[in-house]
Amino acid sequence: MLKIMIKMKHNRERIHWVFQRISGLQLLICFGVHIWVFFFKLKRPISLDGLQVIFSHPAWIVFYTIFIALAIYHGFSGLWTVLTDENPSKTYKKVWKIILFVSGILLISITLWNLILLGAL
Amino acid sequence: MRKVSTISHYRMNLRLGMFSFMSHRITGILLLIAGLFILIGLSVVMLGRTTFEELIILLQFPTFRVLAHIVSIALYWHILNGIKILIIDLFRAGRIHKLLTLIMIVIFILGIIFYFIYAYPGLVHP
Repeated sequence: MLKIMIKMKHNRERIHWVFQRISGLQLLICFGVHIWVFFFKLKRPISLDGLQVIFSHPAWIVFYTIFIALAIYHGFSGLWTVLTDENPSKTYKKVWKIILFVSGILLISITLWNLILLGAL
Repeated sequence: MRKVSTISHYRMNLRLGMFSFMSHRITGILLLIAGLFILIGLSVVMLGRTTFEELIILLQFPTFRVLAHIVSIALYWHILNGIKILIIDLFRAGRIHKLLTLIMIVIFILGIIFYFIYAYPGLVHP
């Protein structure tokens, strides 16, 4: 039983490690698209009207929601690694896990709402 | 045996690899804080059109421009370091990590020069 539990814990850590790299790569691609949008698609000087042209299209809302969700996952996952570097107590880990999970979900929801509002203002 | 704290561990092994590791973490935390500020700042859109337009004007101030440059440079370093970590992980290139770090530093310096040429064209063609 103990062996299985250790294996499961190792698998979880491995998945976390793999996802950190995968999300990093995906972020790199999304960032490239964002740079293209920011420098070549967005009209200068930057104005609300220019932003509305982009965010009135649902595809860009979906893209930016995915981009931000990935960034939040990558950032919070990295923060989790920093916070648990010295192998703290289980309670400490549990509290931080809840804080990061809840704030991550909240941030993604708020961002999605803001992007929809930005397109509809 | 007394446990060596993480900071003492960093200090004891402060070489190129450790510098790269620490800078990745520091820039990561900086980017996380900047990202949270941007996302929370974007929520101004809930207060209406005028307030959002005021935010856009506020972001043109020199202080925010300097902050944006700092965040961009940190992001560039973080990306390069991330790519280096990926190369080491995927190709088991741990043995040449010093060489990779040096290549990364050279690319970083070149990129920063191009970045400032683009950001301040007046520096090259006054």
